[in-house]
Amino acid sequence: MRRVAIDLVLFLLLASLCAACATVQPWQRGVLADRRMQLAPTPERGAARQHVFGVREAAQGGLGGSGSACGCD
Amino acid sequence: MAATERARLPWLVALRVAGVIAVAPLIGRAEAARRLHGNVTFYGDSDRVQVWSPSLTGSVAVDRATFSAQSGVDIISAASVDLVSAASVPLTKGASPRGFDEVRKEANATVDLRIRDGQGLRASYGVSLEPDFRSHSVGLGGSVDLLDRHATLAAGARFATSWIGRARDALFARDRQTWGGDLTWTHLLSRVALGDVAYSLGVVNGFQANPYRWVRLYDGDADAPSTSLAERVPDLRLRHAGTVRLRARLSPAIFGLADYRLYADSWGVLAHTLTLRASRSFWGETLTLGAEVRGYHQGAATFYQRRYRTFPLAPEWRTADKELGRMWTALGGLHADFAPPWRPFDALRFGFGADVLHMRYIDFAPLASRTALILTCDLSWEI
Amino acid sequence: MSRSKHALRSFATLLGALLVQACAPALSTVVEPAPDFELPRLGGGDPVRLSALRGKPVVVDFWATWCEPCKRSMPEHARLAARHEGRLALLAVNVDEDAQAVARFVERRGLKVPVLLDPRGRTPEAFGVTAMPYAIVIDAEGRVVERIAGEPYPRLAEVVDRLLVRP
Repeated sequence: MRRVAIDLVLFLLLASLCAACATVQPWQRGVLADRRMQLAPTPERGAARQHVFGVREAAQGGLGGSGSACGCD
Repeated sequence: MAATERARLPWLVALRVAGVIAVAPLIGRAEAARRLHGNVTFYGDSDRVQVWSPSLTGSVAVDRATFSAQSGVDIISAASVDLVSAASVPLTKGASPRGFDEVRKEANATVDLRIRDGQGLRASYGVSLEPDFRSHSVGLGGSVDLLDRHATLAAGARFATSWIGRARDALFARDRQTWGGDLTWTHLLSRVALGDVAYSLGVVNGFQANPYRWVRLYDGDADAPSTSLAERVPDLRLRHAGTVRLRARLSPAIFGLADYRLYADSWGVLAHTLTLRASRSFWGETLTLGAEVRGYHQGAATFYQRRYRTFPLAPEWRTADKELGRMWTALGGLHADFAPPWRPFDALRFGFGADVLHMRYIDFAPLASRTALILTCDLSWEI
Repeated sequence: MSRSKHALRSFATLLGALLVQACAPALSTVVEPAPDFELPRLGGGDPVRLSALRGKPVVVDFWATWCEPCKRSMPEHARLAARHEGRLALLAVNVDEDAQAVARFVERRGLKVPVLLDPRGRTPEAFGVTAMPYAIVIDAEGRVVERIAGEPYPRLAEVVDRLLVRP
C-alpha cells in the first residue's frame, strides 16, 4: 500500500510539472544548456561527492541523470 | 587476479585512456573533441580516518560516439574506533598502532552513442579492487526526448557481482550480486528552469555484512559483554530512492538548485536528504563561486540495536554498523571554478571545493559523532 | 522480490502513460518560398539580405555556442562552402543572446563561414525551426527545398551536391 502511495505521489508531481510548463523554442534554450545548470560543476566531481556520501550513509541512488533538455541532437 | 596484476590495473587503464585520446583523431570524418580531467579529493575526519582519492578521466567524441575511461584509487589510512577493515598489511609505516592502511583501485569505461534525433544509448563497465574485495559491474542506459523536446526520459539498468574475502583467512569467500534500475524525467519548466523526477530501484542479494565486524552481546544490563558474534545481516536488500529537483537561473549570473530525496529499503531504513546549492559567476563565466548546504536524516534498520542481549536468544540479525542506526549529517561547503579567458589557457578549467561534514550517530555508543573536512581539486582540459 | 516487481510494474505503467503523450514530429519537405530576412554580420559590415542572394543556392544553418552538435557541424560547413566556392552561399545564423561569446567562439575556432546574428530569434521563428541545429536549403529561385533538424551531415552535403549538379 505504501508503494502504491509513493507511486501516486510521484505521478502527481510529474503531472503537475507538465501542467505548469511553458513552451520553450529550440533557440531559446541557451540557459538550460548552460554548464551551471548541470547537477555538478563536472560529472567527475559529482561522482566523487556521491562516493563520499554513499560510504557514510545508508541511503543510495535516486539522484537521476544529468539531462540538460537543451533539445540538441 | 594476482597482486601484481591488480597493482598495474590503474596504470593500464590510464595508458588506454591516453591511447584513445591520441588515436581518436584518425577515426571518423568529424573533428575529435577530447577532454582530460584530473581530480583529487581529500577526506579527513575527527575519527582519524583519512582518504586520498586521485582519479583521471579521459574522453573523446568521434562522430556520434563518445568514449570515456576513468581510473582512480582510494588511499585509506584509518585508526577509527569503529574498525571496518583489516585488509592489506595491518600495520604499515606511518600508521597508528591500532589502525590500517588500505588502497582501493577502480576503473571504468563508458561509451555514449547518439542514435538519432533526441535518442541516445550508453554502455559502461567498471571494476573495483581491494585486497579483500573485488567487484565487476556493467550498465546499460538510454534516453529519449519527448513532447517536442520539452522533456527527456532516461532509463538505466546495471548489474554488479562482488567477491568478499577476509585478510589472513584463505577459507573465507563470499559473494553478492546487485541489480539496479533507474528512471529520470527531466522537464523544461521555462526558458530558465528545469525540473527532474528520478527513481531508482536496487536489489542486493548475497553477503552484505562486514567480515571484520563483531557484535557484542550482553547478559541483561551487565556492563561487560558476555560474548561477541560475527555480524550477520539479511542476504536480500531492496532499495528504493526517489528525488524531485528544481534547477533554475535566478538572475543573469546566479544559478540555483534544490532537491529532496526519499530513500527506503527492506531493512527498514528510511532516509531524507535535502540539498540546496547556489552559484554566482563573475566576468562572464571566468570565475564562479558557489555554496551548498545539505541535510540528511535516517532511521535505523529494523534489526539495529544499540545493545544486543543474549536473552532469550542471540538475535538472528545483528550489526555493529553505525551507518545502519539512527543518524543525521549536515554539510556546508564552498566551491570555486576558474576558467581563464586568455590563450593558451582558455581550454583549461580549475575547480576547488571545501566542505565540512558533520555526522551524528544517535544510537552508537563507541562514537557519538564525527566531523570531516572534504577538499577537492580538479582540472579539466579540452584538448 | 514481489515488492520490487510491484515497483517495476507501477513504473512501467507510468512510463506507458507518459509515452502516450510523446509527439515525434515527422519532418516532411514541402517546397515553399523562403521568408526573407536581413541580419547583421558578426564583426560588422553590411547586413546580409536573403533575397539579394537569389540566383544561387543558399544554406541557412541556425546554431548556438551552447549547442554541441551545432559546434561539431562548423568544420563540415567550411568544407562544404570551400568545395562549392562561388556557387553556394552558406549562412550560419547564430541565436545566442551574448554576441561577445559568439565572437570569442568564432575567433578561437578560426571559423571561416559567414556568421549572422539574430539574438531575438525572429528568423528561426519565421522558418519554423524545431530543433538545434537546423539547416535549411534554399534553391536559386528562393524556395525551401530541404529542412534538416539535428546533425546536418552527411545529409546536407548530399542535398547540396544534388542541387548543384541539377541542370
